[in-house]
Amino acid sequence: MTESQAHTTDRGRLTDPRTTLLVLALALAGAVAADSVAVAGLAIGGLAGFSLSGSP
Amino acid sequence: MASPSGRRGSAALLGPLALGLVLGGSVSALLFWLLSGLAQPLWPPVRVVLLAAVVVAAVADEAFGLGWRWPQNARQVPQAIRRRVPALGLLQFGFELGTGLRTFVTSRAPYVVVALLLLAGLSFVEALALGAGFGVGRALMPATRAWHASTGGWDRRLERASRELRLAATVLGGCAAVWIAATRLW
Repeated sequence: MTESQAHTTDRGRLTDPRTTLLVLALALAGAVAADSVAVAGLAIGGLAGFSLSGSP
Repeated sequence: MASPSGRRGSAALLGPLALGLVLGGSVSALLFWLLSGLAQPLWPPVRVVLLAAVVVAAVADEAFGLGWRWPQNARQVPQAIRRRVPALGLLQFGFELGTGLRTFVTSRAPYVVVALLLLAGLSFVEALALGAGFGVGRALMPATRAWHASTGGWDRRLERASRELRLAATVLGGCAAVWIAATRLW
């Protein structure tokens, strides 16, 4: 695999919808652990907004 | 798909779109937050139970494809808006999309957000965070799609992950919403 191909693959993983979901889920877990309702709200809203991806 | 993000030269236009989405989500959240005053007379544990019931219904609908009809406008933001001055058009398009009130709502997770806003007795800042987060979440779609090596490839990945994405967002958001309401109201 060339460096360019590896870079493209990495970018593909980073921008995969499942990766975004994982990041938002981790943010939510962190907010719950830290007992921060505002940050949890951001993550809950983020999850809800991202779940509409692909909507017409 | 409501994405104005082609890969050629449109990355700069994501800014106005994202700003519109965040503003729209915030305004919508604050409207629901204002309406939450109507739920104040309810005994707090009843509000927690009502929120939990919405979460259970939302998760069941997503998990088992029950096809229940949830209130929604089910209309697309007119495409003509996007044809105006690009930045302003995208700002307005993002705003209307961000409110969630002038679009199709294909996931049940936003209903959990609305129930949380109406029932959990959140503060102004917490409600604003929920709305802004909703806009950011919507903006992540065109942003990650534009950054992906191939938009067609991203669309295929989304199509494959779409169902689990909606279910996971509803389950995670729902559990966290019940936790917030229970710790706040019980």
